[in-house]
Amino acid sequence: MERYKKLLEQAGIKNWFIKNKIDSSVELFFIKKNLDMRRIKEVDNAEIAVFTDVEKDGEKKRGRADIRVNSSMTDREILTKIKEAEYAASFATNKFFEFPKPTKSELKVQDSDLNGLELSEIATKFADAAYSVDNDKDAFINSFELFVEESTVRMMSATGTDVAYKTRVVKGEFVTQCRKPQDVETYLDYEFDTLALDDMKDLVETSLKTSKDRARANAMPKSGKTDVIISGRYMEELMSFYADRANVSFIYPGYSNYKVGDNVQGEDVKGDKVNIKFLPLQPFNNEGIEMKEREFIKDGELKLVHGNQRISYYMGVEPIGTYEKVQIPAGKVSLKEMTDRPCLHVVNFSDFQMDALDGHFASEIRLAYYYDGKGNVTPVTGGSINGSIFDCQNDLTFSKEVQKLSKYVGPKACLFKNVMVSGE
Amino acid sequence: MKVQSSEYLKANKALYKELLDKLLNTYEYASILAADSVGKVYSVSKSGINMREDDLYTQRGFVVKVYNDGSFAEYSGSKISKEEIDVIVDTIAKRLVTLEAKREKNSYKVPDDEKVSFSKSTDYEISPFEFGDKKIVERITEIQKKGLAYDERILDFYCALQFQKYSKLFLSRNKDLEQNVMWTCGAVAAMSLKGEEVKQAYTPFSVLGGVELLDRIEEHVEDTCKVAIELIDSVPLPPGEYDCICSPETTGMIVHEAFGHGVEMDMFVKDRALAKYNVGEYVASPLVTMHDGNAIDDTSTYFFDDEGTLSNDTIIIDKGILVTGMSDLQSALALGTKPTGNGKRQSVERKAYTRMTNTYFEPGKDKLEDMIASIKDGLFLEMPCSGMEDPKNWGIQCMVTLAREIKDGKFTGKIYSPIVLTGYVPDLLKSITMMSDELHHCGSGMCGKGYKEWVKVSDGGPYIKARIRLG
Repeated sequence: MERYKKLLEQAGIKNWFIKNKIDSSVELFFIKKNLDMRRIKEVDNAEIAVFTDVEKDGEKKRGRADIRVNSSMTDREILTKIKEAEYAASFATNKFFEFPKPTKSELKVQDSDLNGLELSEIATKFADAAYSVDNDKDAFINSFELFVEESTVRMMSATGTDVAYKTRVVKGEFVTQCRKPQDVETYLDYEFDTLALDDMKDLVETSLKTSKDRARANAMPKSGKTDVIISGRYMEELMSFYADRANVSFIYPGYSNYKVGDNVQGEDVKGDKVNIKFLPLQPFNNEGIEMKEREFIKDGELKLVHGNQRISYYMGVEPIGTYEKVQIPAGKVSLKEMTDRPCLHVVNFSDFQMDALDGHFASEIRLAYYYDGKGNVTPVTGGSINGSIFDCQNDLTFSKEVQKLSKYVGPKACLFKNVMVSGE
Repeated sequence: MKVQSSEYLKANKALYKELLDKLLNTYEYASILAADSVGKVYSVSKSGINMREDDLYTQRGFVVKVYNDGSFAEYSGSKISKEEIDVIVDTIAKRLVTLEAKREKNSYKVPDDEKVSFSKSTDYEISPFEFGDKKIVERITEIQKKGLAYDERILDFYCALQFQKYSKLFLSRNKDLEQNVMWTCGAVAAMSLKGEEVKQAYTPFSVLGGVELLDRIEEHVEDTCKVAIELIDSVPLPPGEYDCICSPETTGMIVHEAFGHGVEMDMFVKDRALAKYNVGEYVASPLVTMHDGNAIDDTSTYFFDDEGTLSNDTIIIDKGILVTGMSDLQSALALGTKPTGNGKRQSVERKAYTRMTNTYFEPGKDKLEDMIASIKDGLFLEMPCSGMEDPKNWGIQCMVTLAREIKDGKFTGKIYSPIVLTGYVPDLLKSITMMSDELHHCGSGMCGKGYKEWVKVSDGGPYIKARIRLG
């Protein structure tokens, strides 16, 4: 890090920002119960932003060019890249913007029970946990990938920012399979920042049950509009809509009309009002801005917009960084109560997508439970949903049950009225 | 012009060889893949100009693979030096091969290590390094301005260009391979507003080469803007089965997402692909022949893969019959087949998986105008936007931006958007009754394995006529 700083100063660069990341990992790859590949990674990479101020047609402009370097490079190579970036930044210019206020901090180490253990020990514990519940003769783990990663990030700028943090994360993906009566599989990814061995077991058990239910599921009935419950990890993707629409990078070019004080669900809200808090994913964003808990939407009213320094400066709003993690309070209706009416509860999609540009959410359905409102429930598979959040956000029902995911803490499920479902 | 070698790899080749020799003293098989690449991304929109070296495209480092007691292990690192060699050898011996020592492991035979040595490079017309950042930014800024000025209903216009020049060195006991490759791709996107919805029309471009691509990008500004404006009047499509003409880009998405992922043979090893049980069977109309590999030049053309297997032209489907899948080294060892040169890594920091390269359907003999004229009541599907694989069940999930209504062989002007393609892959492929006589392919995007491991691929084919379930 100091080497990069010295080279920037040697090159006479007045304004710069460095983010240096040192990563190590232990990675295990299983097929069925057998280990198929093991890996260790020890790498470092740095991003250096070089800024140049110029005046064009009487207007003050600020240019930026980013380069990537690592410890394998010689001083000469890095200096050449820096000089090229300085030149590039002199014509890759935008309207002038100020730099973020400098922040300083000692190394912040994530408070986690993952600390104090070797990465390889953590890997063993999580693999043992996952396979401890893989005991069913019909449904089993088909394949399992585990990454235990440690990252140390330090950021410095010419204006005085000097912050650092260290994180550990356990993440990966796995597939469960059930061969009878139909041969099906369920894909899940996961991420934990604590020694959440019980959560790992729960996740595998849930996935095994999903595979078993899908194996005996019927084909989706014919097309039509119905109430749809979306739950589990898809809530994270679904609720990212509001954070995306409130990002200055969406508002500035006119993709979103959000303004602080707006009611994001419209004026005639029949269902639950949206309440969202932002939570930090890391102590600092990529510009060194401190990230902290913030009230984002209160009773449907937008309290703030977020995003990077440059566009925030153009819009005249406080630059607070881009938030990706949200917290939503529990709803008032239980999942059991939600399913008292005829509805489709989708628990597994092939690739659920929420498009914040056009408001559409859509995916092929891998497993859903159809409730007929008379106490009967049928597992169904196939077909797809295609809805618009603009059409249904005024009548949302959040579940009492809550869940904790890597970027989402909040209701386990949400009920949407009158969503188009296509089936056989 | 030929893409130049990496000075860094040349200067450090002796060190990599020394590391390899030390590893071969202990392990029956060892290999090293070293990479040195630079890739830049340029974009211009209403929000401003961005220019950066991309983290996926700019990398320098190496990965060591060792074979120990029947199983494989890998070490990824950044820096090689005389002093580091013993440290790496020690790490591999004491921390890597001993990982999960008590765990049951899959057992493989030693990989074949055919004696082969070469240094090859792809061609380009205009080097982005010589053309220069300044001219690139000026050109894409001009294109962006042209798009934004096209019509007042264009909310924003985005123009992007990216390129990667990479050099790779693969060393094993019998292999000494070097390749130098450069690709460039780009895109234009026009945005329009329909109430609160932002509608987007997107046109991608790619070439195995340099910034000669810029001229092609400029030619498509108007078409893209026209579609963005048409989308303002689009309506949702009633779900159902339709006779469809797919644009070559849509054909490419079907080739890649719906079928290609299902014949990646690491999925055969895991028993995750239905295709495994259908080799030798009709899986598509006899009109369909599908390739993967180096028979065409696009962003995924290379001379050897990330495990040192030479690239191939693999015929996956021959006149409707599934002939073979594609494989990486380890999957081929598990299945007792020959690796097809499809072992690819996101970077030297990641594991190799079976991945597609340039995947496409051969063209047919039909004329596009005859295909459209043959539709009594159907749709023309264009501008694919996303897709997801389902090798296990051959379920389709693909999305396209729009469908144009065709009645009695003529476009009515009615536009539907967005469109979800669903159904069963072989049903769709067997329903193909016409294929146009032209082949288009594009490799502008990245392909993930699930939701990670992003690698460059291309896909394409001709216009096809098929019966497709749409949502």
